[in-house]
Amino acid sequence: MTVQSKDPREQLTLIAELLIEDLFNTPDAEILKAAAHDSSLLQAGTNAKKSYEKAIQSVGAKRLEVARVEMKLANTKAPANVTNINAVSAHKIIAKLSAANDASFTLAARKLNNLSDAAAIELVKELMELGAIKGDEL
Amino acid sequence: MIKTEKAHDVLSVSDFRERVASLSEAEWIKLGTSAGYLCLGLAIEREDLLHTALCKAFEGKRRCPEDLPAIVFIYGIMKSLVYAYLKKRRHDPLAQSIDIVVEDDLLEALDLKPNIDTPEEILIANQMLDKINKTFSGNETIEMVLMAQLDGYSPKEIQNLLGLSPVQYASTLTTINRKIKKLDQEESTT
Repeated sequence: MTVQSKDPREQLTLIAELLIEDLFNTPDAEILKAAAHDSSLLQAGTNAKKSYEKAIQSVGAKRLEVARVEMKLANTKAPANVTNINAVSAHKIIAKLSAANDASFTLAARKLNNLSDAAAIELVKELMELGAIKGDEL
Repeated sequence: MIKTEKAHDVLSVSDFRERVASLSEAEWIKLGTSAGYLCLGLAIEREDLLHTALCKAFEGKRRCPEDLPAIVFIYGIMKSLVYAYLKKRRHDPLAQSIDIVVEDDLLEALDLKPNIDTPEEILIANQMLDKINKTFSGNETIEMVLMAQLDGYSPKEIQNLLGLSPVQYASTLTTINRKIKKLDQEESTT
């Protein structure tokens, strides 16, 4: 047999393609029949399934890592200055949050009309300290 | 006119995952075996190749056309990974230098970690090729089929070239398959 390509690895890959063509054209029933007498076929199937389970885990772990990094990034935003907040600003912030219907502030929004100036300032300060309101959201 | 790809032409990642989850036992055998064939003489593990290909698909980096069977799609990814791997190793003869990788397929090949250096890999591939040559020496039909395949002919062209009927061609492939599988098994036990 004459060797046409210089790289033997490429030649093996081309031969592999030929074998796979035959494999994929073989009916499933015949494959299972052959597997009954050939443990290497069963092993190939088992290993393939293991690779699948590993891939599910790897992709899940990668997604989790991305979410973790995003969360970390969000939390590194500069916290708002909690010292200089007056009653007017505090009421404005609460009104803004209420208008946005942010689920995080539903409870505070419900009591908006009844909040005293001191309570409004206190609430906004607490939210800032907790990181629920960022500096760039004021 | 440029044909734009319609959204419904490819499966969503979750639909593709469902398809893979429902593969039959025979299809898993075909996938595992094809991964093994693609790694013939290479310094990469079949499980790593399949794992990497599945990750690409599950991450949505490769999208499966709706009308393509999942195993054919996964095989396609494995094949392109192997070609990317070979391309990278060609540029990196000692497998020790650091390449400036710019092409996407070369980047993908970084996911496949070879367990030996390139010269040793080439040596092993040459030995495997020699064994294949010896095994089929004297069987003219098989030798011609293999040569035509290495020359890049399509299955139809090979059949026409050698005057083989589809049945005769399929039977020849089955014989090649059986003998190379045996060789590969001997190789992995030594």
